Amino acid sequence: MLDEYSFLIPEESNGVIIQNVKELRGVETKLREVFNKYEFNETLIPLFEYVELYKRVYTNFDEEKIYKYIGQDGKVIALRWDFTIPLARHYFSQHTEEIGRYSYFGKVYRQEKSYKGRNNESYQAGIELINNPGINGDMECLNMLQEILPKLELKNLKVELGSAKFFNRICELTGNKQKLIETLNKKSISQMEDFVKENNDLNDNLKLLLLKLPRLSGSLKVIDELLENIDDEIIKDSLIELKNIYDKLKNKENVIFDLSMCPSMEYYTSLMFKVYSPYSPEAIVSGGRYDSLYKNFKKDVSAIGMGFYLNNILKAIEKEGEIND
Amino acid sequence: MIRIAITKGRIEKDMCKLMRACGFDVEPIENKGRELLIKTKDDIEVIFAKANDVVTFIEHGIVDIGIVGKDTLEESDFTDYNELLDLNVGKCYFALAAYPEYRNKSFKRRKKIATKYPTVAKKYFSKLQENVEIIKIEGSVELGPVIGLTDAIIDIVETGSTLKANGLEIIEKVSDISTRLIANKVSLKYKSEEIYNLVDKFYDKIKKE
Repeated sequence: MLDEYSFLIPEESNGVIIQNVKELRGVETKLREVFNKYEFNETLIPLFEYVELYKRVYTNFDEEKIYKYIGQDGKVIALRWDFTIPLARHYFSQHTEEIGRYSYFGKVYRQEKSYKGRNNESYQAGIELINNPGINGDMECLNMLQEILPKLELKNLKVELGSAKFFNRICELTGNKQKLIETLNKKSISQMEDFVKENNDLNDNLKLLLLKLPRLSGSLKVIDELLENIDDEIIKDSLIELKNIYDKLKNKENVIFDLSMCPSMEYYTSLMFKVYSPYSPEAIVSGGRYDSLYKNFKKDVSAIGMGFYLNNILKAIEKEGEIND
Repeated sequence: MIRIAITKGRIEKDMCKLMRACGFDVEPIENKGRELLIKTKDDIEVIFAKANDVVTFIEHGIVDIGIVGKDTLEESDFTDYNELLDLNVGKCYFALAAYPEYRNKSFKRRKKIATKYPTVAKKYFSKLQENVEIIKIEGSVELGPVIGLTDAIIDIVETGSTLKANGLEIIEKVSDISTRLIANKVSLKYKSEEIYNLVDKFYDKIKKE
């Protein structure tokens, strides 16, 4: 006799997707073609990792979200939570000074609340470009991105650039990183006003900049205008860096800036970017330079990476199709 | 066109007043009858929903803007939205309340706390490094101490008259609450002009008051 559990799938499960598999493989193929063209080595990353690996890198790690169990050696094992950290470890174990080019395709597992329409297993693809510092590496990554995006056949995509260097400098100048992350992540005008009131001893120029910051996004004009009014050398540097990157982009259409973009990972050091579709409620691609990640492995190596959120991409393709039918 | 989800009830009334004061067409909202989705002359679509659903709609990008209380946002596990503006209405606060004896009583067991907001309660007591037993109550939380189920409550306080009528006192204020304007992060990329147009009008009005 079959009981009801022979028919049901657990709440965590995404279900068997048949109708989408063809589209998924199609998108994968397009990504793989470009990854291969740029000579990235495809990797297959293990599903099981020590929780310690992630904890060592992410100080504010949300352990609740990890699927975990006690392994044979009594240590806590996590289901793969991301690809960047395991690939960093892999590069480190190679004891090489050469440029590392890795690509990956696979699922990551994060425990989400039930009945919210969220994914516990989500499919990601991406690349890590290791030891190709500065604008060379940035452009290699962004050129790949700009080669891939038109192939996705999604309309009206926006590529958004931000700078962790800019953000970190503002934090340094104000001396209250935690509060600033809270405020800027929410782009809260009211909270920023309170923050400036509470920190009345900051210099007037900085206060003016802070008040503008939640809304400091848009075209290149935003960068140019700020460059004229800013004295701080590090802020200037970070803006010129962004401008240089923009100048070198092959396709400048639909590229926007967001200076209030907060580093989603604390290891980001300079360029950060996101890609949006009007048909996805979250970004469909996210990436950035993370030159300080490798310090966790006692190594001073620069790296940049980007991840494609395939669940979001597929949903956007589906929704765009429905609306334009 | 932008779509707004407004929390039903008092927030809805406050919002209507604010929108009217800012010169928006609120006539279709005031005469909505049983309609769930209302269009105004300002090219705005309005949905009325329960507070938690407003946040869910923002998460899924079903609406661009949400009007919701800080209490709901603090309790929610979804945090990836933009919280553009404090609308400065619906002001109240979270408080720990109990019978006056609570202050000096020594407990030989974990304290029991009734609340509709377990996340807020848990955060408050973990800051005090205190282990308590939280019991979630759906209706009148004040019943907790009154019927002897719990030692205290964490709840929203507006005037404090319900507390007073039941002999309860505010032991400590936890945090301030007011109505917030939140936005879906991707909506803000595509409809930034329309969203900020609305935000600016509300902002100017709030500052004048």
